[in-house]
Amino acid sequence: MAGPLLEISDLRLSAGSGKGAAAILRGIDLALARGRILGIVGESGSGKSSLVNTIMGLTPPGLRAEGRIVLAGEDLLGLSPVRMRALRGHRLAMIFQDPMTALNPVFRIGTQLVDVIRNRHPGTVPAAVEAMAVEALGRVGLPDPGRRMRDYPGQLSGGMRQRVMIAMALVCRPELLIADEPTTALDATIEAQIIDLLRRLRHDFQGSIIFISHNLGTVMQLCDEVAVLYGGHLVESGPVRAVLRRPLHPYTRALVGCEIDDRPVDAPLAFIPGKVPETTERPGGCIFADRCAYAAAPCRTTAPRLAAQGDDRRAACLRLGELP
Amino acid sequence: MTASPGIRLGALSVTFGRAIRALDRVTLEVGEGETVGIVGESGSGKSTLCRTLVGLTRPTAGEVEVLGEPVTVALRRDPRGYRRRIQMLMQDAVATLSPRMTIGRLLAEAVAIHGLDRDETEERIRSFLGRLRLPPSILGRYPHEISGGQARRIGVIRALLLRPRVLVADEPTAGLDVSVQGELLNLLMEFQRELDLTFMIVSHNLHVIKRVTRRTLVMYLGQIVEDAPTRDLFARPAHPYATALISTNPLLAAEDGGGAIILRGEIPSNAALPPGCRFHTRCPVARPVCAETMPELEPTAAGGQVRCHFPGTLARPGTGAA
Amino acid sequence: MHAAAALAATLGRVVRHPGGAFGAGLVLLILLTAILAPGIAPHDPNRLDVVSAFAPPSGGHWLGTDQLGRDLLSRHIFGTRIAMAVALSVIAIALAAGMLLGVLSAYTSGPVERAILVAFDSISSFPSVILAMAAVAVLGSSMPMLIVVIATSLIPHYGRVARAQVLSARNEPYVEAEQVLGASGVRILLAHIVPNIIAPLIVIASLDIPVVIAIEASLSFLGLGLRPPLTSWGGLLQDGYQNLARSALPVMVSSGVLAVATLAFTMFGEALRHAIDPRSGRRA
Repeated sequence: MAGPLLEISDLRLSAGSGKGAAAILRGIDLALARGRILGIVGESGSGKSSLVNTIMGLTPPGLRAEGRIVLAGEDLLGLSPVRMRALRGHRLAMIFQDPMTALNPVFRIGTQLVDVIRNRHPGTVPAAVEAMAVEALGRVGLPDPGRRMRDYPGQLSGGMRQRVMIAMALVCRPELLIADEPTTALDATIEAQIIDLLRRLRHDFQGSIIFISHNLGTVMQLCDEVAVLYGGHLVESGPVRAVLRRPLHPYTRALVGCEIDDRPVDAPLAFIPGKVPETTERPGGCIFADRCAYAAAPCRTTAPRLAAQGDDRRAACLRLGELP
Repeated sequence: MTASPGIRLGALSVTFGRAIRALDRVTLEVGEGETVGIVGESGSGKSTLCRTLVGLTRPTAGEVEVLGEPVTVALRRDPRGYRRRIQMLMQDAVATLSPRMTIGRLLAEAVAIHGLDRDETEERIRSFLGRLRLPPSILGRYPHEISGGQARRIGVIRALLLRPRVLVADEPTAGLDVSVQGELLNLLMEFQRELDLTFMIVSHNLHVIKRVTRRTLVMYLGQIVEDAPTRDLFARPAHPYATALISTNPLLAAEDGGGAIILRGEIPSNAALPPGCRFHTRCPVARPVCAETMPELEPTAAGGQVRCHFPGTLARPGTGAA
Repeated sequence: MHAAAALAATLGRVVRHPGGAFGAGLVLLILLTAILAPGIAPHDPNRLDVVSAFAPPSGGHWLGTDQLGRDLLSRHIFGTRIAMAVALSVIAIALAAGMLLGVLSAYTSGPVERAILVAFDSISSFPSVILAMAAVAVLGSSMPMLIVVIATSLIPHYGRVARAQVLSARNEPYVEAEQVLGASGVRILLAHIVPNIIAPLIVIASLDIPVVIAIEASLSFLGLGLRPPLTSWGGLLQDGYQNLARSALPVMVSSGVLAVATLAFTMFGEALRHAIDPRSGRRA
């Protein structure tokens, strides 16, 4: 297929101006091919959620988005709110950490699902819409989907609600599905069910998925590629195994190092000293220099650019060649 | 298990209302100075267990003893003395700090409530702040002005100011970024060793438990289903639930992440517990007897205890002979 | 230190709220008028001058005179004292008693709790004015009497809110954390629960001040309130009403004063509600 499905170039998200100006995304370059699953990782405050909300056109008022977000040849940032609304639910869909933010508690889930289908496939006869809804609920593993259609969101468990959200996303047949920490609020065995479901669905789902998670293990299980965000910068990206097994960027190394290892009880755990930069900080050099174990003098004055490292990997660090 | 018990539970049951059984005849002994981890999901009763230990929840039946004294007796005889012996780090650290008080006043409360020596405590607060890498200026801040990680460390100071013998930590790292959770755990373990605390740490994160404890309890629907030395538990879990739980959360370093055992169905409600073994509705290796007879906690060869008719029968896929 | 800073910050937010500065300014003016009445009133409010009855506004009498030639401006300035004294005492009593009973009902169970709740329901099933009329008719009218009667009718208002607030605050993690720390029940209540529930009660109080002014004026207008020589705004309105055929001015002045005062306190109360309510974006 010609060109990537999604191509983001120099995406900046900022608020205010002058001294108190906040930079939330500081120039993100990212591409995602059709049918691929991209994991986005980073600490809280790294800009993960802001990035996907900007793609969805859900930027809160007062924030400025600049750059380009091209979805299949169309620049999303240039679209009118009306056109953007039309895209959501057709070519773009999103599932959230808390499904209750997207499900209306006073309508039956069947009604809500049917609404989504009618909106996406206008003109379908009611019986067919109903059948599609039941079929979608069945595919996401809701037991007895025909009867579940009549349940209200409050009658379902967290895991079931998340399945309903996935069913809604599926009937939209979006080109791009964004999942923002969809399993964070779930119990471990239920999380495993949802991840397993997403893995199985990807085969009959043609689109691409962006999956945000703070759990590197989950990203490794589910994703093809991974992008590491830090302080509004994309610091490293590439195939998930390569990046998480042999990270290049010192931040990715530190983050992977913080994953709990197999060492004995008495050995101290790794952590990254310091804290993520505030959006109002404007470092002259590398955004990670303050916390970096390998920072040298140039790191504090020169901002590194994201550069290709081999065929399919990219990293933004001045000292890549010199690191052990 | 060791000489004198720091915590002893004898057939402890907690029932809410008429039907919700949060804890069901939990029997447990934790030696003084021992570190024990508890893992489990919603409804396992791990939080109720912690709350019962510190007297926030009353036992419906059974015994709870801390340092050799029944909690109900201790709370009646000398409530403050009991609080000085056992402290707890609660979930949602920011919300546990009274919102209209500065951090300094919140710390000073320990002095006022327990009549601690003012100058000495001030000195200790200063040294705690230093060790926990908190700026002294934090004392003038309000709870909503500090980060989640800072609030947790303030909670640690509040608890340790009373020089407790037993510390219960309910999900101490929940909601923290991995980049900072290690620092907090290191500090907790340092304090545990230094003060020889009896330490009970609850987490849904198995890796955390694996890394900081020598003994782990696995709970499911109000019962202990496995109690084993941590290393053994993670290497050779005996209970199918423990096996599945460990498989769902592979270490990044594990060669293949595809070895998760996917349990069917949902966690049943504490108000409608399944008959027989509570896990049989989701167990991949359940047999007819499991639906009829509830297994008891039985000792295993490895020195632990397991509540299963057929321990060790569920193999982890993809990991070979673990 | 903290209380003063918080108060200053709250007042700052009140003043920035639309209408807040106007309301706060007027409230301040009303309070100063009440305090300084003897100093600023141009005349003795009770000095008769029958010759110049129903005089139109003039240099000597800015708002004219009533049927007995008394200076309307001075009478209303002294009326402010009465209105404020009644309103503030009523609110103070209702707030204190309501909080006490509300907290008590939240901390007790069984007969005590039920008795308090039944009392709240019984009191609030009567409109305040009707209740006050009945009480005054039976027990006679005096200022303390009036204050107690109106305050009683408002107690459930505060009691119910205090009860609901305590019930929800008692399960807050910070209250449980204090319990684990060993704080006594009294300490938790006074140091942690009350400071966190007082804000909504203060807001209700500020919004109740115009209600009390209106109730007192209604009672006085109906002849069930304060008796001369006390000059309540309601009494002044009644005086004017009786002589409406001869001059509309006294009625207009009294109604105007009442309208401005209620408006001022309502606007101030609304602004205060916004300033205190955490949902209105206190923590940006």
